[in-house]
Amino acid sequence: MRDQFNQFYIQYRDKIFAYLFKLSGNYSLASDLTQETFTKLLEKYDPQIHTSPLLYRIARNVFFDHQKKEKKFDVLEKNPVSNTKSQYETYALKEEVQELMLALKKLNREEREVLLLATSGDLSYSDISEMHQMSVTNVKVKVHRARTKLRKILNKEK
Amino acid sequence: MEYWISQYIDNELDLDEKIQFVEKIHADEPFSQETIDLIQQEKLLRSTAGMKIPSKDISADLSFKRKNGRHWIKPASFIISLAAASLLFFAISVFQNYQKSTIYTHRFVLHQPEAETVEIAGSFTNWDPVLMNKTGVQGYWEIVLKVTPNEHKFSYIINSDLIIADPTVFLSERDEFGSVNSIIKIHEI
Repeated sequence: MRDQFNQFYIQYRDKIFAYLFKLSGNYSLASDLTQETFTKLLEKYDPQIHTSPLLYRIARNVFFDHQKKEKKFDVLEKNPVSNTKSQYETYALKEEVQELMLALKKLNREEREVLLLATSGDLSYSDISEMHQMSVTNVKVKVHRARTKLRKILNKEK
Repeated sequence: MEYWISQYIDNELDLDEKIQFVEKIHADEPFSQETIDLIQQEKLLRSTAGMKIPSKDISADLSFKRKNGRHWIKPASFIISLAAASLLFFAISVFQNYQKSTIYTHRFVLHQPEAETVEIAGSFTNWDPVLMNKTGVQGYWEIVLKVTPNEHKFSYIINSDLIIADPTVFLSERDEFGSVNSIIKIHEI
């Protein structure tokens, strides 16, 4: 059982971290939330139902719980991340990925969420529709609109 | 048809739609160019280069601790915990002494010329990934690890993403997540 969990962890740790990093734009926060995601998975869910949709759902909830707390207690800085490329240079991201990270921040919350779930490569539109409680058709529309909007943002910045 | 490019990228088209999609690609140059642009963008979106979780932040073998110390330890629990810890410490000491006389080393070698990183994770590393060393220019990766005489399961992790079994090891098993683990038996000499 433990071996299976460890295999699952190895398979998804970097993917969940990348998802949370792109969602939050914050490296150390993404690291903490990844840890919290796997802790919740291990503590609250039977290993027999450990699946990628469940893992992403937990990661997403962990992120939004964090955001709610942040608003409620006003603990973190109001604007923790400035809109400059240099903030991502520290993490050895390619220049084009740095630009992408900044462009992602210009999408609205829902657009960024559905797009990042779709591009995880681990979830179907049906999985995303369950997570967001919207129809598959709606997911299809939102994912594509987010993609084309992101393209426009990136093209404008070139 | 407006959303087909995304459905194509996300593998959400059925066979009939795929036929129509390919026909449209051939007939409609702007559509074709938009598809290529969005696929290029997708490569960036799916890139995880530089986005590996810092290993120091995840404690070894998932011995996660709650971040918020909300649970106070009651005195009785503390005494019981102390006694249990002493017993555990004694057991570990005995076990380590026993282990000292029965640990062997094993050399793991994998040929992966295209890989940027190769890690090994197995029952002998407590399933913690351990980075392997690239040797020479022929694309071989190797590491020598301590193993106890026992049956061990392991697999290699290529570029922190792809999990593969050792192609030179005959015994293997598939786990429920679809990964294949190699099985080796280390015999006591």
